[in-house]
Amino acid sequence: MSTEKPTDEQLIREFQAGSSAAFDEIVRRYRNPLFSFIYRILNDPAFTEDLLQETFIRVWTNRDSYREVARFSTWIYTIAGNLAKSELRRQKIRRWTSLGGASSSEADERPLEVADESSDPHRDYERRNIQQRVDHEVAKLPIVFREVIILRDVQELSYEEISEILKIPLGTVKSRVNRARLRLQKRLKDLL
Amino acid sequence: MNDCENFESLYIDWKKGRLSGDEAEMLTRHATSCRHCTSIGSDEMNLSHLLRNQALYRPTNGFEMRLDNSIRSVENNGKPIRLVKKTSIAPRLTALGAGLATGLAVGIFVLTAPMENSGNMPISSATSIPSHLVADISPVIDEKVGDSLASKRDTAQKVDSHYLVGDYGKVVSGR
Repeated sequence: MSTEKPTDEQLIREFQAGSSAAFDEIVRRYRNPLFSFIYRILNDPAFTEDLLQETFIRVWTNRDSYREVARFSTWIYTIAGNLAKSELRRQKIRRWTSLGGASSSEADERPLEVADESSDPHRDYERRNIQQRVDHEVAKLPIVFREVIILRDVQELSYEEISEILKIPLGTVKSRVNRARLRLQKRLKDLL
Repeated sequence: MNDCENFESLYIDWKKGRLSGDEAEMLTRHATSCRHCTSIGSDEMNLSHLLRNQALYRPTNGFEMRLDNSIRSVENNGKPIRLVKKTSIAPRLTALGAGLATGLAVGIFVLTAPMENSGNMPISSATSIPSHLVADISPVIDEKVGDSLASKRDTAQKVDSHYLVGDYGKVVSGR
C-alpha cells in the first residue's frame, strides 16, 4: 500500500469525481499559502479571509472547468490573484470616492495569526518585527512588482508558473522580479 | 536580457541546483568573470532567504466551518456568507457624478449670467428697487454719502499726484 501523499492534480480529480474529502484536503493544503499571498497583496486581514473563502467557493463551484493542461496550483493562484487585484481596484475607487482615504475595513488592526509559531517567545517577537518590516516594504512596492516577488520569493513558484498565473511573458516576469529585488535590497539593506 | 540580468534572475535556481547543465555552466562562468554579479549574489541570496523565511499567515480559527456554511449557502440561494459587508461603489460614483454635474452647472450659470444681462452690466440689487423709492432716498445719499465720497476722491487724487511727482521713494522709506 502506498503512503505517498496524493498530488494536487489527483485530489482535484477525486473531487471532480465527487469526493468532498479531497476538497477538504485541498483547503488544508492551500489555506495558509493563499491567505499569505492574498494578504500581502491587499494588506487587509478581513478582506483577505473573505477572498480566501471566495477562492475556495470558486474552486468548489467551477471544479468541472479545471482541465489538467495546467498545474492545479497555477489554477488556484490565478483565481486568488484575480480576486485580489479586483478587490484592490475596488478599494482604490472606494478611497477615491470617499475622499478621506480611510480603509474600508474595520478589522484592519486585528493581529494576524501566524501559522508556524515556535515555542520561543523572544525569537517569535524578533521574527514578527522583521516580518512586519519586510511586509511593510513589500506592501510599498507597486502591484506589478509586488505580485511577482510574492509569488517567486515568498511562495517559491517557478518563473514559468508565475508567467501563466499573471499571463505575462517569461522575460517580463524575470525582469520584474529583478527590479523588485533591487528595490527591496535597497530598502532592507540593514536586514541583509 | 544581458548576462548580468540573466544571472540575477537565475541565481536562486542556480544555487538550488534547479538549472540544466548548460544554464548552470553559463552562470558559473559568468559568476567567476563578473565582479558585479559576485557581489550582488550574496545580497540577493540573503534577500531571498529573508523573504522565503517569512512566516505564513493563516485565517482565523473556524475558517473551514465558515467556508462550509458559505458553500451550503451558495448551493441553496446562490449567495455566500461574507465576512466583510461589501458596499457597492455605484451609489458613491453616482453621488460624486451628481456633485460634479451640479458644480459644473453652477459654474456655467455664474459665467454666463452677466452675458445674459444685456450690455454686460453687473447685476445690482438696485435694479429690483422701484424707481420712486430710489428717487426718494437719492437726495439723502447725495448729501450724506456724496460728501464723504467727494472727500475720499480728493484724498486719492492728492496721493496719486504725490506718487506721480516722483516722491515714491520717500513714501516707501517713510513706512
